[in-house]
Amino acid sequence: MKIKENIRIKQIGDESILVSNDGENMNYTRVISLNESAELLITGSFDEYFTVRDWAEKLTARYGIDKAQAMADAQVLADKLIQAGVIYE
Amino acid sequence: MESLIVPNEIFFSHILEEIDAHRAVKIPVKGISMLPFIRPPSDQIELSKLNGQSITKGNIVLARTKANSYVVHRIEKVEKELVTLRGDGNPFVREQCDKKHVVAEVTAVYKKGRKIGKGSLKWNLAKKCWFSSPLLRRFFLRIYRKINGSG
Repeated sequence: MKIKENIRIKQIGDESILVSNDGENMNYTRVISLNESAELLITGSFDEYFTVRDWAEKLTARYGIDKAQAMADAQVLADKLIQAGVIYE
Repeated sequence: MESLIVPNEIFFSHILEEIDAHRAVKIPVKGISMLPFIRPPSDQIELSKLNGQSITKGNIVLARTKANSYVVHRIEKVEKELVTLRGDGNPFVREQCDKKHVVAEVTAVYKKGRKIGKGSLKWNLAKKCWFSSPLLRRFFLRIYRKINGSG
């Protein structure tokens, strides 16, 4: 999987959000708010291919959760971001 | 991961940083004060950095009013440093601000994904053919809202 090239992380107040650059403009009509773990994974994944397993390993390393839980969490996030058009397979 | 609601003050502060960096931004629309041209919640607007011709009668701008709120309204009058704004959907209400508080210009409206750019035929029709008279405006807005079930 890879994050689309037009996706950016922005900070609004205390919130980290994902916005897309449509070419003509920065699109704030469909922003996605990120929690800490999602921000960690996405920030470290720009410009590179990754798998759900890569993300799960990062979650395990950062938060000390077990592998099964990390895989489940990473898969949920990946599914949501694919559905939102943020990443592609 | 969830939808995000940000206070106007924080949101526009961020948006203005983008615009200052010469990046146009597309934002959703709230409020009915620019009916019938700009229709919430489906329409979206593109905000761009001001140019030398932006603060001119008829243009739609983002401004911080004397009441300290942000509005996206059409410029009705410019007198030296004082700008008078009026939403297309407002028969009577107007806002005033200093020129320096006009902070961005609306350069496009997106309706169901289709762009109506500033200067296009539809844009100019909305600009020139909408009623200025408060009574006519109120009358036709009432009809519009009855037809569309808004407001």
